[in-house]
Amino acid sequence: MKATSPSSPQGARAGLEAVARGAWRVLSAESLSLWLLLALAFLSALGTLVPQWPPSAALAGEGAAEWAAALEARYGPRLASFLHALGLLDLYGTPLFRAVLVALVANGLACTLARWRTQWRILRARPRPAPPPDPFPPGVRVARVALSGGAAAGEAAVRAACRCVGLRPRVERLGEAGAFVAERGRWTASGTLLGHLGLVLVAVGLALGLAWGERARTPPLAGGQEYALPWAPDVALRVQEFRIERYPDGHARAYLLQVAVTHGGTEAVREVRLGAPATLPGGNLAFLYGYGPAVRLDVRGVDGTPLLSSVSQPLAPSASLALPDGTSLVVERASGLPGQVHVQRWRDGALEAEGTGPAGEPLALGDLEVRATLDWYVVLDVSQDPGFPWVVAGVLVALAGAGVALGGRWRQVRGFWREGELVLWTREAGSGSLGARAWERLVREATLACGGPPGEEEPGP
Amino acid sequence: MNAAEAWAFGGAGALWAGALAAALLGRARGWEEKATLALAAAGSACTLAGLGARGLAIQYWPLTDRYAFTQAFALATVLTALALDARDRHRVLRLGLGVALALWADAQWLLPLGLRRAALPVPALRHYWLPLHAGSAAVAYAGLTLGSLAAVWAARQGDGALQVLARRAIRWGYWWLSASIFLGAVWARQTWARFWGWDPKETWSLVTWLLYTAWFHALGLPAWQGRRQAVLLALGLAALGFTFFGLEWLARQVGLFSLHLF
Repeated sequence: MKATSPSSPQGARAGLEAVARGAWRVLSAESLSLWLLLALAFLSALGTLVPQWPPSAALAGEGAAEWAAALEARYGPRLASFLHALGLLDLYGTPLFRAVLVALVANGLACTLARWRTQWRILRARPRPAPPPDPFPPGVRVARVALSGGAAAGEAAVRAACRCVGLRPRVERLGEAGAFVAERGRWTASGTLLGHLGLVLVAVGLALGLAWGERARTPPLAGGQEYALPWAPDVALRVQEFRIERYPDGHARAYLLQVAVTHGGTEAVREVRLGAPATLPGGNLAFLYGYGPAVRLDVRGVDGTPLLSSVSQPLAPSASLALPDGTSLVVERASGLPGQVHVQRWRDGALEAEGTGPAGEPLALGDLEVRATLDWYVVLDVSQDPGFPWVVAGVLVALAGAGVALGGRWRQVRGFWREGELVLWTREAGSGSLGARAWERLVREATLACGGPPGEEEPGP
Repeated sequence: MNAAEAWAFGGAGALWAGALAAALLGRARGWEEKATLALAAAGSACTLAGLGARGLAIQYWPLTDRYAFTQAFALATVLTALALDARDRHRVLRLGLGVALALWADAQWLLPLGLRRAALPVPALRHYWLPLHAGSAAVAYAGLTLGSLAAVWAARQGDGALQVLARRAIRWGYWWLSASIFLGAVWARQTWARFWGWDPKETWSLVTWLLYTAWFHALGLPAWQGRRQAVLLALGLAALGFTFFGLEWLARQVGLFSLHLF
C-alpha cells in the first residue's frame, strides 16, 4: 500500500474527497430531514403567534403606516419595536427561515439522488430463483417443510402455496432440486422516491416563479381606463364592464368583469371572475383583486354641446376630472343622502360652483350640465409565473408517489426444494415482506401440499 | 338549521351513541357486533342525509361552515373506523365512535348558535375547489386523529395488530392532508394569484403535515423508535387539534386575521 502524506497534493485531494463524501452523507441523511422538518414546523408555528406583515400592504405599498399604528396600539411601542427588531413581524421572510427551507429542499434533492440508483436497481433487476443463503441474513423469516416426493412434487407444492396468497412463482429447476421467487408490487418501492421528486419539482417551480415571474397590482381602474403590463407594454387591458350578480336577499353571488385585451393590434374581450383568472397573451394572467365605487361623467355645455362623454373615475373617496376650459370637477357621494352625488367645479383653486342631486340625473353647474352615474372601479392583480406548470406537475407526481408508497406494498417470498425438504423465506417486516397472515397461510398450504408432517418455522436470526 | 337537518344530525348522534354502547357492553362475536355495525352505519347515513339537507337548504355544497365541517369530520371518522375495523374486534370502531360523538357534541352543543346556521359562502369561496379542499381535509383529519389515538393506545398495550391498523389510518390521513394542502394552494393561486399566504390556519395545517412527515422519517431511523415516535405522533395530533379547535381562540387573543375562520 502506498502511503500519502497529508501535505502532498494526493493527500490534500484525498482529504477533500473525504470531506465531500462526509458532507454528502450528512446532506442526504434521513435524520437531517427529520430535524429540518421539526425546525420548520417550530418556526412556522412561531410565526402564527404574532401578527405578520400583511403581503397585500407590502405589494401595494399602502396601509403600512396604518398596520404599524394598529400593532403599536395593541402591543405598545416598546414591545412592537422589540418584535420588529427580532424579525418576528416578518418571520417567514427572515434569513433563518429561508435557510431552513432551502436546506430542506437541498436535503430532499440529495436524498432523491442518493437513493435513485438503488431504487432503479430494485426496479430493473429481476430477482432470479436461487438456493438459500447460508446463513440467512438478519431480519429474514424462514420455514422448513418436510417434502415427500421428488422435484415435481416440490414444484406442485410451491405453485399451490403461492396461489393461495395471490402470487405467481417463477420456478427454476436445478437438477433434482428447484428454486422459486414469487413477488408482487416491486414497483411500489419507488413511491417514496417519486414523492420526493415531486416535492423537488414543486420547489423548482416556486424558485422559477420567484426568479423570473412577474407580478403587479393595477391602480383602481374604472370603465374605459387602460392598463399596460409593466413587463410587456404591448399587452394592455381596458376595463369594459363590471357587475355583481346577487341572490334574492341581496348577498353577492358572483363578481364578473369584462376586459378588452389589446395585443399586436388585435383586441379580444375576456371575462375575469373571482377564482377564475383571465388568460392574457404571453402566458400572463389577470386576477380580480378588488372593486369599489366609481362615477361615470357626461358633461355638456348649456347649449347641449358634449364636452366630455362617459369618462369614468374611481370614487376613492372622490373623483377629480379636468375640463377643456381649464376648470376641474370634483365628484363625491353626497354625505347622508344615499344615491345622490355632490359635484364641485373649481377654477384656479377657488370653488366656482357646486350642487347635489340624484345620481344619473342632469345637474346644472353654472354654464355646464353634469350627469354623474354611479359605477364601479376594479383593481386587478396581473402576473406571469413560468414556474406554475412545474408546480402542478410536481404536485401530481408527489401525490402519485405518496399514493404508491402509502397504498401499495412490495411482497416477495423465495423458496428452494430438494429431496425431503422445502425451504421458504421472506423478509420479517417492511418493504419486501410477505406479511404475517399471508406467511402463515403460505406455510400452512405448502405443508398440506407437500403431504408430509408439519415442518418447523425458524425465527429470523 | 331546518327540521330535516335537526332530525338527521340528532338521529346520527343517538345512533352512534347506541353503537358505542353496544360495542362497549357486548361480546366480540355476539348479536351486539351486528348491532354495533348496523347502528354505526345508520348513524353515518343520517349524517350524510343531514349534510345533504343542509346543501339543499343553501343550494350549494354543504361544507361551507364550521358546523357542517365538524359533522363531516365525525362522519369520515366513523367511516374510516368501519373500513379499518373489519378484523379487529371493534377496538378501532369504539375509538372512532368515541371521537365522532365528541365532535358531534361539539357541533351540537358547544358551537355558538351563529356558527351552527347554514350560510352561503362569500363569492371568493364559491368554487368547485371548496368541496375538494374541505372534503379532503375532513377525511385527512379523520384518518390522522383515529390513527394517532390508536397508535398511542397500541404503544401502551404493546399491541402489534392494532399498531398495523393505526399506521394504515395515519398513511390514509396523511395522503389526504397532503392533497388538501396542495388543492388549497392551487385554489388560492386561482383566486388570489398566490399559492401561499401564511394564513394562520394554512400555516398550522403545514405544521401538522411537517410533524407527520417527520414521524414517517422517524419510522426508518433506529434512534427514533419507541417513545420518540410516540412523542412525534402526539405533537402531530396536538397540532391537528389546535388547527381545528385552538386557532379561533388564538386569533381572538392576539388579533390574528385568517381567511379560514368563520
